[in-house]
Amino acid sequence: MEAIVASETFRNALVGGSLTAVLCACVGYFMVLRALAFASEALTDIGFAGATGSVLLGWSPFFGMMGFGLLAVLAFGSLNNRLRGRDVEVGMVLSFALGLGVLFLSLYGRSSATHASSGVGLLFGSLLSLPGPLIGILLAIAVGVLFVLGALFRPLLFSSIDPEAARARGVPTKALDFVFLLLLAVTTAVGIQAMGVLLAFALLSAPAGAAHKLVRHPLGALLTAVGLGLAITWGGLALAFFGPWTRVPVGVYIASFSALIYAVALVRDRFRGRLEVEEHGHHHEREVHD
Amino acid sequence: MTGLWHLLGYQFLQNALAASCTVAVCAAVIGYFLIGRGLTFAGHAFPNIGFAGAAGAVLAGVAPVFGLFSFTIGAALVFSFLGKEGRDRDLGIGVTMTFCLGLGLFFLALYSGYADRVYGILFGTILGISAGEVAVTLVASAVTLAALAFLFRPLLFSTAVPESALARGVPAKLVAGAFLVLTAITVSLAVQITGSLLVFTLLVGPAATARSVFRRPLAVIALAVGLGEVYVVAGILAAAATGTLPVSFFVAAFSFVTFILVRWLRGGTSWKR
Amino acid sequence: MILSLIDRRISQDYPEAMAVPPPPCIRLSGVTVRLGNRTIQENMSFSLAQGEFVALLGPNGAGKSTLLKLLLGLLRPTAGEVSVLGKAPRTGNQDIGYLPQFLNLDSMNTLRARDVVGFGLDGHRWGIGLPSRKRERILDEVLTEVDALEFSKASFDELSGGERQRLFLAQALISNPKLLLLDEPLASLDIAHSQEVIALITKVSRARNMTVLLVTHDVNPLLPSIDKVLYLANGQSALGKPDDVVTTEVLSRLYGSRVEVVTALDRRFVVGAET
Repeated sequence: MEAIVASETFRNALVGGSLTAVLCACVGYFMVLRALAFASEALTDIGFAGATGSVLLGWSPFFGMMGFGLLAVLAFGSLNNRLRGRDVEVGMVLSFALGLGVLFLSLYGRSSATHASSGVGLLFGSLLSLPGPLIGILLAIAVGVLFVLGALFRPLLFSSIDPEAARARGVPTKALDFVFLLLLAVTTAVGIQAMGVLLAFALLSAPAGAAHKLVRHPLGALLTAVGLGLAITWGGLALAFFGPWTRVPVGVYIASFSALIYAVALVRDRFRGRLEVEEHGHHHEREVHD
Repeated sequence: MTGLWHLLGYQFLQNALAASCTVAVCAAVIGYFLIGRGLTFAGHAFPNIGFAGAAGAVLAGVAPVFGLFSFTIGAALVFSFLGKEGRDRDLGIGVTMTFCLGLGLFFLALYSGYADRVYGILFGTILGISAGEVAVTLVASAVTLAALAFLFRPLLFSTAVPESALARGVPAKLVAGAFLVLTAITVSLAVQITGSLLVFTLLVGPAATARSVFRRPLAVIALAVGLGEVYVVAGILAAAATGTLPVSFFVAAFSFVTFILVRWLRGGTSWKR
Repeated sequence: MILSLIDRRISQDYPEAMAVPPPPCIRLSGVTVRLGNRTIQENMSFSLAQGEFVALLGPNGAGKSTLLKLLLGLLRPTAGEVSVLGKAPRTGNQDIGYLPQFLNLDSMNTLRARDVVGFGLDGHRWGIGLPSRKRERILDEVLTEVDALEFSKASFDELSGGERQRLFLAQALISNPKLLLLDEPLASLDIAHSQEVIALITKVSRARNMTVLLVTHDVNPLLPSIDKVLYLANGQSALGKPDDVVTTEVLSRLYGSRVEVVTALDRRFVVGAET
């Protein structure tokens, strides 16, 4: 066992995984607050198209992911804060991206076997095979994104909770919306690297979603999200390295733990909230659309 | 053109067309209500969850379609539990979907490799559909359509004005649950045509496009049905004729292009949403 | 024997005196409502006659919407009895018209005005429903009554707040109800539209002899039209003419603390109570 723990693979996976977890939890916290679940799921599929496309062109998939994601954000940016009600458009773009990705996959699946297997790596994640240099890049990205988040924390929080009041107070909500989407796209790319396209959403959504239900205070919820994200990532890594099954991508364990913590938070919330729900009636949770 | 006529003589093509044309009708109606109820994320989640069921079924040695139906219907019941609050429900749907995807990958990994049958679920198998499967599809579609017709008015009412519908005696929870189950069934059927990755383009695409054109529910649905039929028929013929690209790709392409075109022609801002 | 002779004489000359009074439209006896560990209403009893126009007032959380839900059969009281039009409350009662708060069609707001009004008629019936001339006629009649016929074919998102309220009112009226429940119908309207809607409700309710229970925060615009005020606060209730209920004494008793009602310019202002 010591051999495994001492190995570079393990160290890289631990560092890379922890970075990803922290990053996803922090960005995910705001993603949940801004009701961007579907959009962030779409970004993973857009990242997929970008990655497969860039492999086809012979480039590194990671940068293809980021590039496509940023492009998409620029396109979304024009819809901006109306993104909330734009599920249909988001879904269509998501499907288009998936279709493209499938097309690219099938195209280069024919051309080379190694390409095909890296496509598979994109789908399922490669936390257990992170190359050393990539860790450095991940670290830089994480630090960068967290720095921006930290700097913008208060205005971002304000504009997430009450955009109209924030606008009235002079907070540049549109700019913040755009910046946040950029951060989300970058974080998504990191998440895909670790968990794969299919499962990246788990690390982004579940820790933050559970934290929101368990803790009311913003900073407390953020820290809870980070804690939960780290816990499920380490748990997943432990199972992947020391568990009985081989060939199971680590993302599978993380996604399962994600579902578990969210389910627990949901049930606890429901049980507590059922007594209060009728007081406020059906109107309580109505969102205001423009 | 004569090549196409020649193609139509083949049994496999007739099977594919028969199944697809009936499913496209269900998909149009379901898609209209998915959009109306803000459940489009579910339209993406269901096929992925179905994929997990199919992978599990392959692992268990049964036909994937059993896994498809059982997992999607199970998910429908879980989603009913999630209630009607938009943001939380989307999260719950997403987490459920990702968990099921993970489960699907788990099954795949246990099955030692990436099974062709499961890949068929991802990308669609309509050109290889058997007569038995066509029969099942026709029956299931007919039942689904009958149920949708029965539920039509209360579903429309409770979608548009839920509080008034409750007061007027509409059993909203039951109707909502029934609708989700019907969605699960339709998705499972549609996965045969488009594969789980691209079902959204057949499920939501035509209805979304039609909503930009018409307002009255029945008109929107009628147009959606028409569009869906065109997509699947053209997609099947194109795939059969070229032989290189799957049906799902063509359907998705037609759906997406038409959607963008109609949106652009109609002018995005004139329809406030 | 003499008394029965007198009875007979009275009933011949003054038949109305001996007539049994019509049953109340709404009657609550000893109703207590507890939700979770909060008591919304304690031992509430009152009755409203058919045709009365009553404003339902009180601070947030006092149980105004809860009372409507009781009448609609959406909620059961923890204790006591509720009777609506002589029977126990039940959902799907076509004799009650209901205009909920915060109505917003969300993604369905491209529906036509007519179709939304039509929900009130048969939206709860199974099946697709065949078009019929009779249905169109009924729709036209009620749309004319609320003065909305001219935009009945427009889609909902093209209409103003006041126009939408009229349509929702039509939706409530189309089943020919005897009781009309309106939950804060004026909340999102400006003064001009408010007055329009109040005039419309008054006209319609008098024409149909409907009992109207209208939840609102500000009683002043309604003072000319209403017969009574039902004030809910602090688990207590008071029913009576506005002059008798919206007073310093009554409200202080309800709230259990010092509340002052100031009358100025023919209006009443409640000071010292959280609304």
